[in-house]
Amino acid sequence: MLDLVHLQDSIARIQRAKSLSALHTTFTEEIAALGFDKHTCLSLVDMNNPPPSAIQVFRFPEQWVERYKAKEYYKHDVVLKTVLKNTGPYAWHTLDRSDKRNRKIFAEAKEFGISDGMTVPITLPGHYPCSINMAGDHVDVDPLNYHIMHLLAEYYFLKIIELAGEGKKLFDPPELTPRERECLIWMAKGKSDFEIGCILSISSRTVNGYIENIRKKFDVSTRTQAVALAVSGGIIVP
Amino acid sequence: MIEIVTRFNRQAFASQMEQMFRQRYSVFVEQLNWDLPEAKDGLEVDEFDTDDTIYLLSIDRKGRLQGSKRLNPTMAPHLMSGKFPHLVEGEVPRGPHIWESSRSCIPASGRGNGVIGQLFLAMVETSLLFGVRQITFVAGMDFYQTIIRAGWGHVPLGYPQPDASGEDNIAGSLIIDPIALHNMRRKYGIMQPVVNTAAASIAA
Repeated sequence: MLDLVHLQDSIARIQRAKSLSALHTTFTEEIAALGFDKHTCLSLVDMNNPPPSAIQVFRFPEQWVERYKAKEYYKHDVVLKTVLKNTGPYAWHTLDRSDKRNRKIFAEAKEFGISDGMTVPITLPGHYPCSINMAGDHVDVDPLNYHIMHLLAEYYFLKIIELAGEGKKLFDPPELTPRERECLIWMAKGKSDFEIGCILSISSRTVNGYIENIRKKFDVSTRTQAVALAVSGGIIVP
Repeated sequence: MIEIVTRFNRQAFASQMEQMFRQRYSVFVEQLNWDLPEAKDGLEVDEFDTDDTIYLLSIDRKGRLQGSKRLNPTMAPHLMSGKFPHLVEGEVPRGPHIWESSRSCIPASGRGNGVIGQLFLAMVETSLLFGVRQITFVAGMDFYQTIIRAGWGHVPLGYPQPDASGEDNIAGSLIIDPIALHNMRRKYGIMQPVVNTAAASIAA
């Protein structure tokens, strides 16, 4: 177990990193001392075709990463699928990995020294939802260390964004009027134009007009896209 | 505009104070299901809403409350000393220049409007006015990333620990100085004061 001064030193080392590669190495060392010696930091995107602003840090064995991408395991891996369901961190051994696909993924990962791990999901306005995944061979990591790694992961993510520059920002969300925002919030909750009209005491035609405006402002063709962008742009909270 | 509300000018903001207690009820009791036994009749008030408490209220042109937070002196009983001392490794930081921030509350309709940044800035401006150099806080880890990227100096005072509902909380401390204010103004793109400085003059 670490004392607090020790923890603050670890944070300071992460904050002092001069480059991204130095940062990744420092973080690897810090979490290795706590039980997990490998990590990834991944925006939730198609790994084989990531958009330029996505974060894709792999400090897992290269062969495993290649295999994982080639087999498109990220589409089925319960570790990544849980990111959007949880706002808090989770230990991998608490996930249901009993289906055939995940049994296979985890059996193969074990051969690369990945037996257990934890994931810290981070959602931040203007950025893709991201996961910091820390893993290793140890299966008996001290529960307190999970909390410490969670804290370090928050500082790690902060520093990645800082070093990668604010250029990593996804896009500048458009300005919405208060009425447009209200319609958007109800639309995201699955309400129809008619229902929104009843809630806001306006006609459904007017609602439709607001939503069409929103769609144009986001420059997208469907309402679903507009809601997705509004969430990642921080205009509405999931 | 953000109003600094102390015991001396509270009367003038009676309506907004009530809106604040209602919004706190709606957010903390109804949405977040915090265990707050003192909350009742749609108002969330607790033992740390005292005469010494300073409130920061974001009020729009029509007098509607957009968001709020409160500051308590650490020399008196406060949230960290009263309810969360276990989150702190060692002693709870206390001193005349150390205040605690709590109950940051933005109703769902106001989120994404930049109110969080304005309340953060208001807290720093108010601290500098009142000679506060350190702000302590207890926060959910889901909010921690927002806190640490604001631009002020920050240190954890302990480890994240789950509460009864399983959510991780952390105790932390912010360093308040003109550098923090400068960094934060640049980050939020607000280069002039956000607090109504006319109100501050009638306070302690």
